[in-house]
Amino acid sequence: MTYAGIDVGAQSVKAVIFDGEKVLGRKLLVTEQEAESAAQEVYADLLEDLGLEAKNVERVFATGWGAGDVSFADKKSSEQLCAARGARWLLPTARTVVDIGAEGSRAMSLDPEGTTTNFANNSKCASGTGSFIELGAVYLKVPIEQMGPLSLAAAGAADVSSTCAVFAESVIISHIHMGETRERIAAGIHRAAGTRIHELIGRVGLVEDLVVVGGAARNPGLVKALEELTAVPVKVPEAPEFVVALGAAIQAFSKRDTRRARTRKKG
Amino acid sequence: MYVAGIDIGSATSKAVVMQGDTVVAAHMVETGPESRASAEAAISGALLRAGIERGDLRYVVATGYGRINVPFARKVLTEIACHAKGVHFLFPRARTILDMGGQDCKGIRVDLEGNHEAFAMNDKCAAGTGRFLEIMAAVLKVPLEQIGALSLEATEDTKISNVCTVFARSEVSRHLRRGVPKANILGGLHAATADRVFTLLKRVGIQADFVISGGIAKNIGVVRRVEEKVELPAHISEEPQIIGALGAALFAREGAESERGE
Repeated sequence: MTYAGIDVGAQSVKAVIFDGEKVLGRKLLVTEQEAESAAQEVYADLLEDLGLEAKNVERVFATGWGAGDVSFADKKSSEQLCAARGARWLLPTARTVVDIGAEGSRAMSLDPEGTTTNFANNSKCASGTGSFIELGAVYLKVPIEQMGPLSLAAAGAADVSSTCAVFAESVIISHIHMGETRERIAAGIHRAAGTRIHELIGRVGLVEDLVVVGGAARNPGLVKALEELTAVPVKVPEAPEFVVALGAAIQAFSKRDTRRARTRKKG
Repeated sequence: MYVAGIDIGSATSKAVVMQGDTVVAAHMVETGPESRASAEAAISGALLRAGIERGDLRYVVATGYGRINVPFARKVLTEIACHAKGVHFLFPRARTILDMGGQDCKGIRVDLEGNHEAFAMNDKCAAGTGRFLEIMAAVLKVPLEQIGALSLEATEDTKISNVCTVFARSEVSRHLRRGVPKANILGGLHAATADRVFTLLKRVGIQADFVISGGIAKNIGVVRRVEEKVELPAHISEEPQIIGALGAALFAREGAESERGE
């Protein structure tokens, strides 16, 4: 039997199919359309890739910003729970999990058993989310995937305000005119985003291992900035952008377990 | 005797040339990346309009966020002091001032002599500043000068749930894709802006007379909604963007007079 998790983010929809032991497939769709149709499309494509049909999937859990729009999901689950479950399944030593999305970021602290004991959320301000670095890339006229590598080439970092992604534009433009290198400005942008994420981690309390998930975890500049700010190594699982969707699939799977256990008890 | 005030704002730089109680000329330019060059452009334009030379200026005062980069200024003063001064000159009964520019929003309460008593500012977040509406006008593809009037044609204000400009921009795109009329979206955006402004004004205390200055005073949609919130009519000068520079020129006049007296 298989289980599916659908993570409807602000910029992309991710689907994961899981059989209780391993991930069978993953698929991501950058979305320009409504959440519902994007979720349907990515799920149908993934099933087709795997040679499966919807009836082969026991349960579908949806999560993320647009989870409420996924009408074919059996249940919704919170992003923080899914991020924690997914990260812990991939990296069982995780005690602090940070999920950095396009339009929100969150930090969870887990006890040694993996239960979430505390979480902090930022969904109000673009600073400290993937959008901040994306806008920085636009201002610097650098493709987003080159931002991290560019910042790693810098000696030091230019001072970029971490308060507002919109106001950062004039700061970045004045840096360019003052002759700052793009490398140092890129490093400053990552440090600014990292500073806000570090504050979020501070609110839940940092315990190692620190695991970062979400698409932004693929950005080596942000990982380096977070390592410098937290003074601990950052662990990034494989395919970090799918961890929340995986967590939803794991929940869909474990839901089955509890139901069967109950049935057995009654019997 | 000629004096000048110059206000280097984040979006525009303004210069005002005065002679006695009369504004002889005013000139506004976009602030470029270098505030020094913007200051030069603004003052040169004002001098040209006044038909006088740089040497005819007895005293120059600079204000605004780029004020330290004005080499020909004799004195540098805060925007708050200059704003209060300029508003008091135009509206002697003014007590509460909303000044909203490209990158900040200020609430200022002044006494009847034009001295500022209380002050609150947002320059940390683009929400509730001119930049917010500027970005939304671009997303909606409506000219900036028209958004205020169009917002008043809303049949209902579309609820904008994000405060953050970046997130609200995606939200607006989603509303557009769903076919929500632009006027209704603008209604919601202007209402959100008025809410932010009102919160700021409450921090300084609202008293009549009420004055709106800065670029936003030209946006009828914000002006109407703020008036409803504060329950007072707003006084708006003909050129609401030059008030800071005007106040600076008034301080320059005082500076020149005290020098002459010595």
